[in-house]
Amino acid sequence: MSVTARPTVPRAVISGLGFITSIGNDQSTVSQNLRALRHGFAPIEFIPGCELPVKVAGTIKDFDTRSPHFANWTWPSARYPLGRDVLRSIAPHGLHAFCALDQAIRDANLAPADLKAEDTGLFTASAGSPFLQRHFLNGMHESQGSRLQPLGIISTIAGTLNFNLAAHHGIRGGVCGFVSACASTAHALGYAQDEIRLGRHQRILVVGAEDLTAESTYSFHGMRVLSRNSDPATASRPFDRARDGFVGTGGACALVIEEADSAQARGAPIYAELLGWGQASDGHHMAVSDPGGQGLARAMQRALAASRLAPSDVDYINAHATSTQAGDRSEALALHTVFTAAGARPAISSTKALTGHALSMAGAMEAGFCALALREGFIPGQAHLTDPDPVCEGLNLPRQTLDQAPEVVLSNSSGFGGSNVVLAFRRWSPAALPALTRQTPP
Amino acid sequence: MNKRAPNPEDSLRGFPPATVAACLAFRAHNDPVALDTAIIGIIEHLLPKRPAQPVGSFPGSALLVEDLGLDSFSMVEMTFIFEDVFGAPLAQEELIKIRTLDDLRSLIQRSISSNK
Repeated sequence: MSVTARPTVPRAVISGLGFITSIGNDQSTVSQNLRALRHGFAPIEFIPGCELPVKVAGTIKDFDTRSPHFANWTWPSARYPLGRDVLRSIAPHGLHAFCALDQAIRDANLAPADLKAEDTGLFTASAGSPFLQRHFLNGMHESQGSRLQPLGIISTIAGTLNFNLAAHHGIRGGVCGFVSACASTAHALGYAQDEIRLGRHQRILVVGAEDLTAESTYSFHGMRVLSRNSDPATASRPFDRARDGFVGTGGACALVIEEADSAQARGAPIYAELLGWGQASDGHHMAVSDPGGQGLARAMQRALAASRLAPSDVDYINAHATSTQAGDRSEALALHTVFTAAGARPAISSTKALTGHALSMAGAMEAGFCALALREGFIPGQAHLTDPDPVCEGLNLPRQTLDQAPEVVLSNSSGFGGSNVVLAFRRWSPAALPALTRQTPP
Repeated sequence: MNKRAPNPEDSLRGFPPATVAACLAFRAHNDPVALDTAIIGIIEHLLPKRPAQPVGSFPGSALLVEDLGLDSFSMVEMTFIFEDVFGAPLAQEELIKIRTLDDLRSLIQRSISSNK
């Protein structure tokens, strides 16, 4: 009986990035602002004269999509020339998504034929567009049903990014949307890695995007989870004792998750390897984090185990912390459970202090930031932290960006219903990696 | 709830100024030349992809779908615009029969005449 060598498991890497975010609409600007800890917040009033005590947001510069009529939108159209065939079936966040994905495709040096290959897939997440849906549904009621926008559903429901981006680029691999609220694009990235490692896809385009409108932002004030602080410089301050809620943002982020040999053969930039991921649910409440952070801790342990890492191997954690009292506390306790208890002190920061909370696109955006940190060799500091919550005692929250190249990075995401997803990245090395400390799976 | 009267200027938001002007000229003076300019301008603006040549240069026998590139969604949008701008309802059973530019012109003219 002959013994055949076990085939090598494909390695999943990030080979392209695109950003339309509050801290920049291109990779270079995003990187500079991350390093300098420059936030992207500005005063905003979605409803003129609005008495809500929510006064700032992470605004998207150079885009004006306040009108429900795309004819009135402005964006860098010379850089992103989009015609009526695209615009008629997208919402504001669809515009952001087309632009971010265009960046990622160019960055990864992907040709139209690569996108149309049967092993190129597309995973996306957004909350849809309550803003545009409200406009169309009001029109339906006002016209007593005689004015039903023909592409109203395609442009507004969750899944709108799948429909539009897949058709535009001729995607023929798997196309799927993810709905786990603020963990959605982290889920998309995790399952993209699975697809690559299982050999079912050569590459998956992962796109997250959100509107930044009254409907998508003010609605969270109903839960009293938005900051009432009107000072853009301090409104979002994760882990600070004085934090009072999150600051909303929108935009889009796109990543190309690809089998390493394929990316290398094309000469694409490789930002990082997506080593593994873990997920676990709180089993606690439909909207409030488990006070002890047990679900998130379990997700981190599973990500470490899947990646064959020990807590001491991790250099940096991009925390989910949104700047709410309950959520940040829960995450701090989860970090203690996994890291402090093991004697490990990785650097930790939440970049939502700079960007605001991008909801379903947060996982993709923060994975993009981790990719930049790994490739360029820095660790973003914890901006706007002046008086750490006592629960953070023992956690390593650097106030300034560290000029230090991380080897291993985790990115945490948590969504409503207690969905927790943790992604583990490693600095790219084309050679077979030396074994890091191995951990027994929990 | 009262049905809102369609506002033609709302419906024509984003259309080229020459098309809007033609629509308003027809509404004010019943000018048949303005009507044809308006019809052509509306179709051209609603085409998903810009045609290789101006819609006005196509013969009346040009097929709306095959030659001009209209799809079912743009046909629905076009119907709303024609109804709002010309005040002439276009019956679904008539719409499904039209194939050419001239079919469409005739339908709109018949509808306008019967609504005077």
